[in-house]
Amino acid sequence: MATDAKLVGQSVARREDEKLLLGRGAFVEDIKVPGTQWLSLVRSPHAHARIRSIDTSAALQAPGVTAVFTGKDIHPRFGTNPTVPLRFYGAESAPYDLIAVDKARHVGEVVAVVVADTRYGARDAADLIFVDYEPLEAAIDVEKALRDDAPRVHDDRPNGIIHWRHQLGNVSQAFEEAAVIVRERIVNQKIHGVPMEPRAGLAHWDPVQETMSLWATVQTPHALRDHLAEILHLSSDSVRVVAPDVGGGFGVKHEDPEYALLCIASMHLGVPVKWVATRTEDFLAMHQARGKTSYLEVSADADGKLTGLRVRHLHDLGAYAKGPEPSLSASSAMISTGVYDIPNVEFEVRNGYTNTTPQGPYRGAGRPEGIHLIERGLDRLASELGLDPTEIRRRNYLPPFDQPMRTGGGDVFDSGNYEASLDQVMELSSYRQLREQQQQARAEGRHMGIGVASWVKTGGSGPSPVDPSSSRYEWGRVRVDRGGKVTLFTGSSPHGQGGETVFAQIVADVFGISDDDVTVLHGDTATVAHGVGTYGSRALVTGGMSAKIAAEKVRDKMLKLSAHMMGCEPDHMTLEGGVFVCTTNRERTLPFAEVADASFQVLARPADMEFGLDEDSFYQPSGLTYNFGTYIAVVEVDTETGDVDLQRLYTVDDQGVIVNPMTVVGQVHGGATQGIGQALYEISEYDQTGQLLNASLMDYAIPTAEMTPEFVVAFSETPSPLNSLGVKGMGEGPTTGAPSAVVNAVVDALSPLGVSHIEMPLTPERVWRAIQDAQG
Amino acid sequence: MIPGAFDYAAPDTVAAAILLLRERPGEGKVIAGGQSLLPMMKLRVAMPGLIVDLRKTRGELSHISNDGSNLRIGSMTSHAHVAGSDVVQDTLPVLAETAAEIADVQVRNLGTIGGSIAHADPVADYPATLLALDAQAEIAGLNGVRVVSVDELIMDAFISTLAEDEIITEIVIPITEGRTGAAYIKFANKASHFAIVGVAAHVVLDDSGYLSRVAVGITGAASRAARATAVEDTLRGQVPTPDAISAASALAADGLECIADLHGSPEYRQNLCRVLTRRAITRAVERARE
Repeated sequence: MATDAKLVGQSVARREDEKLLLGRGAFVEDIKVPGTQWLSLVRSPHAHARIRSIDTSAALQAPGVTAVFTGKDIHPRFGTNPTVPLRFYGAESAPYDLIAVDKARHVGEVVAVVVADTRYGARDAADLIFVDYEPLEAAIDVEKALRDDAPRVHDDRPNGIIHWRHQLGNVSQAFEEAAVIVRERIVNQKIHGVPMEPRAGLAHWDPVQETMSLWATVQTPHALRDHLAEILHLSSDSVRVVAPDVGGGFGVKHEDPEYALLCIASMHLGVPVKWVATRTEDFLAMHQARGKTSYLEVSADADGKLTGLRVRHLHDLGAYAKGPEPSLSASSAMISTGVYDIPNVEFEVRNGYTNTTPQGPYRGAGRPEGIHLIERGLDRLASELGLDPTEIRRRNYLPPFDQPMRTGGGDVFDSGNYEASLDQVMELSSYRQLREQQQQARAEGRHMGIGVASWVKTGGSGPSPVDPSSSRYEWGRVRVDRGGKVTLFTGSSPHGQGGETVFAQIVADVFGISDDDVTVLHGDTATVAHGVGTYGSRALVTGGMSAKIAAEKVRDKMLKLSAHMMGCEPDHMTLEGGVFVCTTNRERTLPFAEVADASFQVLARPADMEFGLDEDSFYQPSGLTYNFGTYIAVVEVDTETGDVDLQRLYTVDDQGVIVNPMTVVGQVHGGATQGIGQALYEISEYDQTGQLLNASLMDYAIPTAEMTPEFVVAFSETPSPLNSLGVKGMGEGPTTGAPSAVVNAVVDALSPLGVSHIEMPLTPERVWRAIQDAQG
Repeated sequence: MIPGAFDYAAPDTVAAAILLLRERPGEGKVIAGGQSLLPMMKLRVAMPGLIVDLRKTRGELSHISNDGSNLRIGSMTSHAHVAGSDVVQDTLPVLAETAAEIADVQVRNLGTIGGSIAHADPVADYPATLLALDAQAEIAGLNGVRVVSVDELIMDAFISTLAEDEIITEIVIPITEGRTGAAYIKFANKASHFAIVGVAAHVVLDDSGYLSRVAVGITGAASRAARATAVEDTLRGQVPTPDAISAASALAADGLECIADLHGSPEYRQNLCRVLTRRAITRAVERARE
C-alpha cells in the first residue's frame, strides 16, 4: 500500500468510469423498491392564468389511481418553498409555490399531482384532470416586465426586486474625456443546462419510524434534505436524501418543488412513489439560466487604455426567485471588469419577475454574461482604434499578483497572471501565422475569423465578497479502520467531475499510501452527516481541503500514537510512504496498519488519547478562488448560408495547482462545449404569450461530438494563496471563456463585410441576416 | 414521453396487415421503423388505437435490386441498408448519399424508405431526391397493387394519398443511362438534423455537353417537397456554365410558399433554396462530366 510518489499532479485513471462505461451505474430510475407507485404531474399550459377550479373526479375514478392532489390540498399543510433570504439586498422574494394554488405563473408550473399504481396509469389519469383557467396577460420579456404598467407576476408586488448599484471613480467624466466609447445592447439569451439524465426521484416514507428517504438526482443532497425537512415539518435527521449516480448536474439539479410533492405523496399514501421527468418537463420546469439584457458602455483613451465601464444589467428571474439566483445578477455585473484595470466603474442591476420558467444557476452562474460584455466591448474598441484584439487586452491586464486584490468590479481576486496567459495561448495557436492565414483566406474570398477572449471565473464558494450571508463550508471526515484502510466521507457529492478519484489522491498523499487504499463515500446523508455539495466550481477547493484537513488530523494522531508505541520523541516521528519512522533511529519503523490497529487497543495508546482514528473538518475558505485563462477560436463562415464552421479552439486555463491533469482536460472539453452551445446553438425561445417553442431536443440544439471543434488545450499554474493545496475551482471557466472567443471570431471573420456585432446564439439565419443588414 | 394505450399486432404478411387495418377503420396505424411515429406517440400527438407492425414482413419488403432499367427498393429497407448498398452505389449513388444524410446511425438502422414517404414529413430528406429521380411507389391494397409517382403520393405536410388500408411495398426509380450525375445537399437544423432546406439535382448531359435533362427536388422549404420547375425550364438545353447555373438557381424558390419556423424564416429558406440549388446542380454537373 505504501508509495513514495506523490499522487497529486498525476493523471490517475478515474475510478468512476468503469461501472458507468459497463452500464453498471445506478441512477434513480434504476433503483427499484417493491410496491412503488408512480407520480405524474399536470402542468399549466398557460404562462399566466388564474385557476378557477380543478375537477379531479374523472382522474380519481381512473384505473389504478390512488391519489390526486391540487394546490388547495397541499398549500395549507405544507406552505411554499423555502427561499434564500435577500435581506442583504434590502429585498424580499415573493412566496414560491410548491404547486400553483390560485394562479399559474409559467407554462409548466405544476397544478395537480396524480399517483397511480403504474407509470402509464398515472400519465393517462393526468389527461383526465380538468382545470378551468382564466388566462391573464403575461409578462414575458424582462425589460417590459420591469415597466410600471406590466402585468404583475405576483399580484401583491411589482415585478422588480433588488436594485443593486456599485460605483468606483467617475464614469461620466471618464466618458467625457475618452477618445472612444462603445455602446451596445447585449442579450445573454436564456438557455438550459440539459443534463443527460432528466430529474428523477423515489420517495419512501416509513410510517413506523416516521422517516423519509428520497433518492434524487441532485448535486446537493444535504441542502435538499434540509429543504424537505422544513417543508415536511420533520427534523433533518428524519430525512435521508441519497444522490446515487447522477447523470450530469451543471448547476441545474437542486431543490426543485417536484421532490417535495413526491415526498408528500409518499407520506400520504404510505408507499414508495417515483417520478421521472420527461425531457419536455425538464425544458418547461427545470430552471433555465443566463437571461440577461444588458446595456454596455465602455471607453478608452487614444492608446486603447480602458478608462470607464458602465453596465446596466436587467436580469430575468422567471416566475419565482429560485435559490441564489437574484444575487448572481450582482456577481455577474461585478465580474464584467474582467481581468482588466478599469479605474471608473458603474453598475446598475435590476431583477424582474416574468411569466417564464424560474431561472437559476447553470455552469458559469452569471459570470459568462459579465465576461461576454467586456470581451465584446474590448473587440469593438480595438476595431475603432485599429488595434489587434490581443494588443488592446495586453494594454489593460491587471499586473501579476499572488495575494488577494480587490478589482474595480468589487471582486477580491486571489491570484492572477493574465498577460502570461495571453502569451501562452498566442504561442500555442501560432497567432501570427493564424493572422497570415487569414489574410490569405480573405484574398481567396474565404471568411476566416480569429477570436480572442480572456476570462476569469469565481470558484470555491466560499464567502461571497458581496453578500457575507451566503458563505458556505464543506465537510469531510476521514476514518482509518483497524486494518489501515482509509475512508473519506465527503459532503461534496461529485456527479461526473471525477471527485472520487481526485479526493482519494489528496487523502492518499497525506498518508503516503496508494489511492487504492482510500474509499470515498458521498451522496447519502445517512452516511455523510454534513455537506453543502458540488456546484460553483467549489468541490476541489472546499471538498478537497476539508478532506485534506481531516486526513491531516488523523495522520497527526497516528504520528503521536506511533511515537508512543516506539518510545520516540513525537517531534522525531515521520510518516514516509505509509510507514512510521523514528528519525533519530531509522531502524525503528511501524507499518501503517499496525498503528491503525493500536488505536483501538487499550494498552498501546497513551492514557490521554481517545480510541480510534476518526476526524472531521468543517472547512470554510477565507475567500473565493478565481481561475482564469485566454482562449482563441478559429472559424470560417459560409456567408451565403450564415453557417459557422468552428474549426479549432485553443485554450489556456489556469486553476492553480492541478491535482489530476486528465480530469481538467475533460473539464475543458465539456465546459467549452457548453460554452460553444451558448455561442452558436442554444436559446430558450418564448413567444409573446409565454409558450416555450422549443421544449424538446428536436428543436433545442445542444452541441454533439460532430459539432465540437478540435481542442488544443494547455494550462498554466498560478497557485491560490488561499488554501494549502494551492488549488482553484475550474469547471466553469471554459463555459465562461468559450462563448466570447467564438463570437469574437465570427465577428472578426465578417468585419470586412461591415458586421460589428451579432447576438448569441449565432445561428445560421442570424449570421446571414447580420451580413444582409451590414451590406444594406 | 409516455404514449397512450394501443393494441398491437405484427402480422406475417402484407396481405394480413391490410386486413387488420381494414377491420379497425380510423384507428389503425402502420409502423415500419417507428422513427417518426414513436416520437409522435410519446408526445401524444398521435394516439392510434391499433399499431400494425410490419417487422415480420421484412422478408417480403426489405430488398434492393436492379431490374435492368429500374432500381427497386422494398419499402421496409432501412436507410442504413440503402446508404451502404453496392447496387445503389452502382446505379443511383445519389440515393445512398441522401440516405446517409438522414438523422443519425440509430435512426438510419431502423427508419425505412417506405415509412419516410408514407409519413410525408415536409423536412424529410428522401422526397427531394425521389422527386428529382421521378421515382414511383408501388402500393398494395385490398384490390391489389397500384403504382403512383412519389410526387402524387405526397400531398402536403404529413398527408399522403395513401388510403388507411394501403401499404407501400416498393419504391421504383428509373436508372438513367449516359453522362449523368446527381447530388443531394442538405442544410440541416442543428437540433434534429432534419433539413431546413435540402436540394437534390439530377442532370444528363448530351454528347455536345448540353443539358438534356435537369431535375431539381427541394425539401424542407415548403409544406411539401417539390420540383423547382422554373430552374429546370431555364437550364434545360443549356450548357451548364457557372453563370447559367447561377442565373437559373436564382429562380429556385419561385412558386414555393416557404414556411416559417424556429429554424428559418421564409426569406432565409428562399435564400437557402437558391444557394443549395446552385451548389447541387454544380456538383451534379461535375459528376456527370467525370
